[in-house]
Formats: sequence, structure tokens, C-alpha cells
Amino acid sequence: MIKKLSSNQIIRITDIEKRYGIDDMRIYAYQCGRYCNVVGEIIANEISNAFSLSCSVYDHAGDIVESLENDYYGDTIVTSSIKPEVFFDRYPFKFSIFLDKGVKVSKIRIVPN
Amino acid sequence: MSFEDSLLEILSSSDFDVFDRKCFENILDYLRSINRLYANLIMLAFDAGVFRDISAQFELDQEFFNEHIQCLKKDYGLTAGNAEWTVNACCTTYGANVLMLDCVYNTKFNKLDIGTSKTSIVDSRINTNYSVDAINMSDYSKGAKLPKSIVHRVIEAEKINNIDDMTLTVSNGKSIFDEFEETIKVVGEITSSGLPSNILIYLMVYNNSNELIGASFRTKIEKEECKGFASFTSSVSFPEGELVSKIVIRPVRDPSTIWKWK
Repeated sequence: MIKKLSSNQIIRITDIEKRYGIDDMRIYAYQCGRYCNVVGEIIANEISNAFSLSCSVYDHAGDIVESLENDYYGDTIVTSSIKPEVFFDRYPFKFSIFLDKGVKVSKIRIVPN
Repeated sequence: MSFEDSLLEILSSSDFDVFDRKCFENILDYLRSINRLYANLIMLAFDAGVFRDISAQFELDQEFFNEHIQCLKKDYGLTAGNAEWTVNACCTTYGANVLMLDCVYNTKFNKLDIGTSKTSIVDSRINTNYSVDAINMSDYSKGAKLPKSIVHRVIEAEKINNIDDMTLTVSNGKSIFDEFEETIKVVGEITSSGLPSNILIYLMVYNNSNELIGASFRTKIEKEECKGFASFTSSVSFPEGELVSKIVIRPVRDPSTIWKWK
């Protein structure tokens, strides 16, 4: 069964986002068994520097259970970096998260770095 | 605005956190001006971990419902009626309307007694780019072609990457392994007098609220391989049950070809 995370289960730090020129992010996340998939868009006309995104996953006890970088762009693991040279408004990103058995995601936090 | 409507508004706001009691107490002050008893009952439910437990569920069944009523009766001394009203209010507002969980329990209280608020909140979330042409994947069998009306090319990006034309066939690519997901398969061919660099084909799927629900960026076309034309096959998955309003196919210069030494 798929469980979509609500907007208040997705934590962002807008002060850090603004440092990279990000106006907004739209994020859609859902858990399906041991998989948690996050897909989103970066809203900005342009970004000031290259960055990747990190995602921290928390369970219902408030403990962090996973931490990872956004999926790479390309057919091999070369770069997860989002670069100004190729950036466009509504630039997509995603995270593919495999959880330990029984983990139920209570919230995620996504931060550029 | 009724108590339930106001509660739903609070629980839908980004300030609500199932772990932050102090913050919840502050935002609950407003509810006390509407009905002090109900507001206190909701605060007790927060302390008893009802909201936290709801957020960890996939559905709210009779066992969950009864267990939390018992908890409020036993640990907090609530009457049976007040305990049932409280758990039902939490399940209906936070569970059903915020987290979109199914409430599959029986109660003497009306589970949908928040009509006006529910409508206004849902409406405010719907993007004005709603497409009446959104399709339901279950209407298309495996391998069936999807309508071209949902396929969007980005001509500007094609020009930047020196692509003269692109032909695309988009179909239902669901496999037996996709139990809770849908997959769209895209087969395409580009014509180009020469690519300026390696490119990736980005696929982006949007639902009828114009939310991005699936993305793929692993398909690469190498500059050296494109001698007049090049073909590719790619796919993108997204959660079952979502309507699809559009799939965007966009060529992007391969970011790994850009290096800057610091």
C-alpha cells in the first residue's frame, strides 16, 4: 500500500535554499513498503552555484534512519550535482530510499549542500 | 467556522509537527476560543500520542480506533463518549483529510462532519493548470499506446542541443513487478546534424494537480553515437492511482561533461 507524505512531513530550510538562488521547491514523497520515493522540482530562474541535495529520513520515534544524496543524473554514478550550466526552472530531482524492515517514515528533511 | 473545520486548518498547516508539543499548544489556543472542552480533548490526544501514531499508519482500522479510545479512558480518565469523539476527530481531520488515510472503523460520530472545510482546503491545493485531458493508466492495458495529447516536448531545449526533430511513442510499460506503481515507457528517435555534447533525456510525469509525480534522467545519448540520428528507450515510474496530465520529454546536456577545477 502506498502512503503519501503530507506537506508538513517534509522539512525544508529555506534560508539555505536562498543561498543557492532557490525560490521554492515542490516535493512529492511516498512510502511503499520498504521503499520511500521522493521526487521534486526546484523553482528558480537560475542558480548561483552547483549543489546537490541531501535527504534525512526519520521514523516515528523521531530517530534518523537514513541519509542520502539525490539520485545521479546519467547512466552511471557520475554526478548528483545540479549545475547552473544545465539548470532550468522546475528542475527535477529524486531520491530512491530503501528502508530497513518495519520502518515507517514520519518525516523527511531535504537540504541543498 | 466549526471546531472541526478550524482544527483541520491547523493540522494542515506547515507549523504542525507531531513531535512539537509547545508549538501545538500555542496554535491550539485559537481553538480554545471556539470550544474549550474540545480543544482540551485534542490536547490530551496529542499528549497520548494519537497524532504521532496516526502518522505511522497506512490506514486507521477498528483495532487502532479502539486501542486509542481505551488509552484515553484508562490513562486520562475520559468518558467513553469523549474518548470516542476525540479519537474520531483526530482520525477524521489529521488521518483522513491531511494524510489521506482510509478510516475503516465504525463510530457513532459522523466521520465526514467537516464538509465545508474539506472542500476549501482541497480546492486551494489544486493548481490552476489542471488538465481536463488527464488519463487514468488503468484504462490502458500493458503495451497500449498513450494519447499524444499528454506528450510534451521542449522545443527550446531541443534547439539548444542542436536537435532538429524528435519522434516519440509513449505507452503503458507496467510490468508484473510494479505492484503499486505505474510505468510509462518512452521510445524515441532524434535527428541532429551533430550533438554539441553528450545529452540526457529527462522524463517528467505530472498528475492532474500539476505535481511532479515521477522523473527519470538516466538515458544518455553519446555525442559520438549520433550520426544524423539516434534512438533511445526510457521509462519512468510513479505511484498507482494518480491521474496523468502530461509527460515532458526534455533533452539536457549531460551534467557530467561539465567540470570546473577549483
